[in-house]
Amino acid sequence: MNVLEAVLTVISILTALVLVRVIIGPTIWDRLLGLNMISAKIIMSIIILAVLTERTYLMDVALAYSVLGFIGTILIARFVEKKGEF
Amino acid sequence: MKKITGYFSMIFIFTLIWIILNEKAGATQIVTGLILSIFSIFFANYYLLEEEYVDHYSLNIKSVIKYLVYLIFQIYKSGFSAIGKIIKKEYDVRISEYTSCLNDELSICLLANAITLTPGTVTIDKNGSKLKILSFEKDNIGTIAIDSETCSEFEKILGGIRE
Amino acid sequence: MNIIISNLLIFVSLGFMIFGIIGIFRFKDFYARILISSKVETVGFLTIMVGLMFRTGISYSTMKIMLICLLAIITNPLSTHAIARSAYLSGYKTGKEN
Repeated sequence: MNVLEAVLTVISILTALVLVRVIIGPTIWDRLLGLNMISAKIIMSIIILAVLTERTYLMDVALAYSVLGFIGTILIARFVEKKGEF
Repeated sequence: MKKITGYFSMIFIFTLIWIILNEKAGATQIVTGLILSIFSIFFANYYLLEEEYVDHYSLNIKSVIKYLVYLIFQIYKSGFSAIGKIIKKEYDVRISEYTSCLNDELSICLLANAITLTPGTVTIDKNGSKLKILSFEKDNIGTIAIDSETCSEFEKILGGIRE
Repeated sequence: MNIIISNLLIFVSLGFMIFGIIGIFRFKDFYARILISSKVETVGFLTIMVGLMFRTGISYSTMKIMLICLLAIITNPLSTHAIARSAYLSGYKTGKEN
């Protein structure tokens, strides 16, 4: 088994553990923190996959995903802070 | 004159990013990159940003590199201390105020960014040059000593960030 | 040789990430969780990216990974700051047990 494949498996298990925090998290901010961590882990997995299979276009997907995850987190945080009004 | 150099460096950086995204440095890529970067700068100037921004955000390249190197060093140093905190399980937090000795908007924002990026401290609020900082009860704030009269190392570096 | 350094860095970053997950379950207070865990994540992210850069050598993909690193250094503290500020302005008290 390749090292990168093993690392990819471990990262998937860690993502599942963060998902547990998102489900049981008592406040909405815990869930947002979990969302942020999950998006960071997905970017890591995409880049590992790109290096493993030597397809460089997957890195563009990671770039776009990092921007979209950032905008989503900021948007939900602002929405909760203003109590639903913009 | 300063404005024109600002525009030229912006066009250069955008073209570089365009070449990296295309993974090829041929003549076609350079020409399309130049055209697209000039077009996007004009679009931003006419439709998105009404005020002059080139003078506000002009950076000194040397200070930016120094800032990045010092920042990465600090991130690793406090990453290890954060692991110690996880093992010892301290969770008393406090919110304290800190008045920075910088008075430039951009430098204060970069300082707040650096404070948030090092583990153990998060900037919550900014009002003028006063920052509200969330930190642990026991230690004095990670990268900046809160009671000291003199400026911290970050502020010394950021003091010269404007051209 | 490059492969050995890269493997070492990747394992170090996995250790950081595992500590981040432990931190997220060990602390009972939200502020303590956000102080520790998301930052340990940043350290793990940067380390694994440097490790993958050693694997790809000098090429365009290395520059793309550097671009992603720069973007992460800029946006990661901003989103942490947005979450903490949102909790603070909504009146979440420190030291409240869940």
